[in-house]
Amino acid sequence: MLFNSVTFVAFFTVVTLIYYVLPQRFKWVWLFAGSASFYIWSRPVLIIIPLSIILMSYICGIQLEKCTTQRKKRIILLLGVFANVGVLVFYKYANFFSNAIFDAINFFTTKLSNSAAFLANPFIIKVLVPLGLSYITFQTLGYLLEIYRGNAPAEKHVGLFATYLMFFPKIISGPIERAHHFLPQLKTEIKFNPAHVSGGLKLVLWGAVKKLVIADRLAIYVNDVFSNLHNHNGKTLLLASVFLTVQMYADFSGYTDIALGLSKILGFDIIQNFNRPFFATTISEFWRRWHISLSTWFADYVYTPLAIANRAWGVWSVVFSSMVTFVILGLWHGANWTFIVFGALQGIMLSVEFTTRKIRKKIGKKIPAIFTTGFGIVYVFSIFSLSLIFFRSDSIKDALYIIAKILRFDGALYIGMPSQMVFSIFGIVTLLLIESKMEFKLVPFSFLNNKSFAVRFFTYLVLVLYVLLFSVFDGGQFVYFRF
Amino acid sequence: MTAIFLKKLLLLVLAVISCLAAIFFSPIAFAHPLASIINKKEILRDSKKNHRPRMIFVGGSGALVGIDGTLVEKNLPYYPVNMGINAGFSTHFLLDLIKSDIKAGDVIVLTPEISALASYSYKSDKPNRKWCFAVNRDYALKNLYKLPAQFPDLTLDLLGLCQWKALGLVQAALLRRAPFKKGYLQFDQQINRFGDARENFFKPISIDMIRKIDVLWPSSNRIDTSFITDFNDFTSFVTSKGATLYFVFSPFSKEGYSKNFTKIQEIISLLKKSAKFPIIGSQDGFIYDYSCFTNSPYHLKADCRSDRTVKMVSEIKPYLLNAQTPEGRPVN
Repeated sequence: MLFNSVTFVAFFTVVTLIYYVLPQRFKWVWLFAGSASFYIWSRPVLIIIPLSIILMSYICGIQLEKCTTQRKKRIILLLGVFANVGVLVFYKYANFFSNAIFDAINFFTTKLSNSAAFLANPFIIKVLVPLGLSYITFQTLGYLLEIYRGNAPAEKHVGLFATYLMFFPKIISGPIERAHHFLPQLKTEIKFNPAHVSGGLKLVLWGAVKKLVIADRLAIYVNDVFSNLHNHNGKTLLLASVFLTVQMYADFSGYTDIALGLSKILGFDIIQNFNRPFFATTISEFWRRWHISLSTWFADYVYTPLAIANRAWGVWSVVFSSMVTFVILGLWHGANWTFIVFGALQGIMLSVEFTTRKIRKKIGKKIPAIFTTGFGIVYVFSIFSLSLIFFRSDSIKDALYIIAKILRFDGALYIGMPSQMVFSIFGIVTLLLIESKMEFKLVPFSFLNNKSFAVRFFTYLVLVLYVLLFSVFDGGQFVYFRF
Repeated sequence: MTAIFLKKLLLLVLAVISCLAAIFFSPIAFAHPLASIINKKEILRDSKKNHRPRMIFVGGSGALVGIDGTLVEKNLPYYPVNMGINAGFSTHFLLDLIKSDIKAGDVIVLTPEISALASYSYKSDKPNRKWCFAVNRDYALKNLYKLPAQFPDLTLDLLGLCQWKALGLVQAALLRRAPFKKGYLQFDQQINRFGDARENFFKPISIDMIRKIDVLWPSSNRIDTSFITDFNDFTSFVTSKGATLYFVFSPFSKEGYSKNFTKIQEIISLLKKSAKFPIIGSQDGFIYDYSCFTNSPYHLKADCRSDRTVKMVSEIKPYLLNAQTPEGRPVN
């Protein structure tokens, strides 16, 4: 069930209406039932997997808290981590690793012994990956690690714990919500609040503009070009790469806004996942603004422990930790070498930024701020767009082919359908203007928060019609659903 | 507080619905090529007033770009009407669409893509469904939307039609054309008076790409034989109207043909065994190299289209020798 389907709109309306009628003590039960139905709708049998993970993590959490010795604690934590990561690796990476092993065997047997015999991988597993598996796993891992570190208590109520992990607005693509932020909200009384509901609807509307009007429109051109690489020239591939970057942002942040809005309508406040990343002037700042819940998760549980453990290495500890963190982060996106290169590029750029920070600071002092900011924004956008070429390509060979063609910058630009192009550019400009207004607080005037009811009403009407009339309804799934 | 909020929300919903209804019933042209089905239906209806008998071609996009009406008109005493549009509409729907406009003396040339026969269905594909609704509401409601289970589909499709009108308005402004017209906004620019697509209707792609998408049938697919019953029933209807129906093979790619030889033969022998209508020529005459296709193994380039039309005309001619006009005069 997609957020952008009529079925979901009907489902959400029913869930919300009944939710606000029910007494507080039954609200979590209703939310859990709704979340389970949402899951069952798309993957009926596979719900057993998240439920098993939840139960196992719940027991591990309780046991971790009960433990008196550090040794026992570590054993329970390791059990919990291995069980969680094991399920994730099995579903997402088993084929990738077994293929890599067989590729290596084939490379040595064919190159070194001049044999033409090719060994086929007999261990290919054909299974459907449970929806939102990595998001659930990351939340349970974070939960267990926080109990282990003594920063948070274990949740005693299995129903509330399951509702936290299965909460349907965030189950499929996050944000990766922390237990200590969400669980207390499940325990406080929630009443119908028009201000909350209206705030939530605003977020849903803005998310729908980003996802359905901007991202899915851009996707038409991007898919058209990327699915027919060899028939497009450098200029076209460059434009498609720029569109791809905006598409990825509008798609994922649009999804997140919808998730945040739906949660707000139900009375929950979940963490922000994006903070206008294209206004970042360095890659490190970019990752503090892009997929915030994932990057902070990696910072807390991978980067910082690594950097601390290897602090004796000085600067190289930061470089090593950045590289390892981002390669894992790349691999999290999918079992393909292209994702590893995507992550490695981020790691390299972060390391370069870190090692050159003093020189850059010195140079920065001599240049007016407007130029350094402008240069920084263009630099971050370009580097991220370059890495997304690997992210989007089927193979490293394809990605290198695109980059080589872009550098040649030849041929006439392919426009496709003129109206599609006009809407794509209009969408990008709208996004840029609105985000610039939010980032730099340029204009004090607000349409949506205007004192006049007529202005507010007319603005909402235009926005809703804009979504309904100019969105792409068969645009398919959200890009991040598959991760 | 809550009551005021809910009233405002309801007011907004009503305003949105009113605006959408206004767009839906407005005479704005659609910006989508599949809306051409509306224009094609008009051509068929208008040509009924014509004294000459017509040769009506029915098929998918292979027929849309695979027939040269000018050559047909030049070589045969029939007025050509190309109803070919897109296989996703389903042949069942297209045949139903022309039913009411058939007159005595007409010749219907059925030329569906062979893959449309292999996976025959009366149901139109999802992207085509809304266009079926736009041109034949009764058929769509009876066959394509099983209400109330498919209420979400119908809602989205109605919204989809509003969207293509809104886009039509924008596109008309961009192209500096009047937006008020029936069917597809650019119909006159992209399709000629017989209903044939003009040259470069499809953007050509490389031969490698065509080869890649030339995958017709997985070996496990069983052929649904219901198309024979459907076509035979339609033949009886056509005959009762004093018209005739012929079957002509759609173009095949050389590689696609040899790759799917067994399946194609299975379909052809089924046709030859059970069809109550004549099958014109042999499939071997309609096999082409990839260099003859534009962007798929169904869409012929202009020169190969002429070649196919000439071949089809010469093969159909002997069948028409004894054909008569409704007034009893020989057609040839």
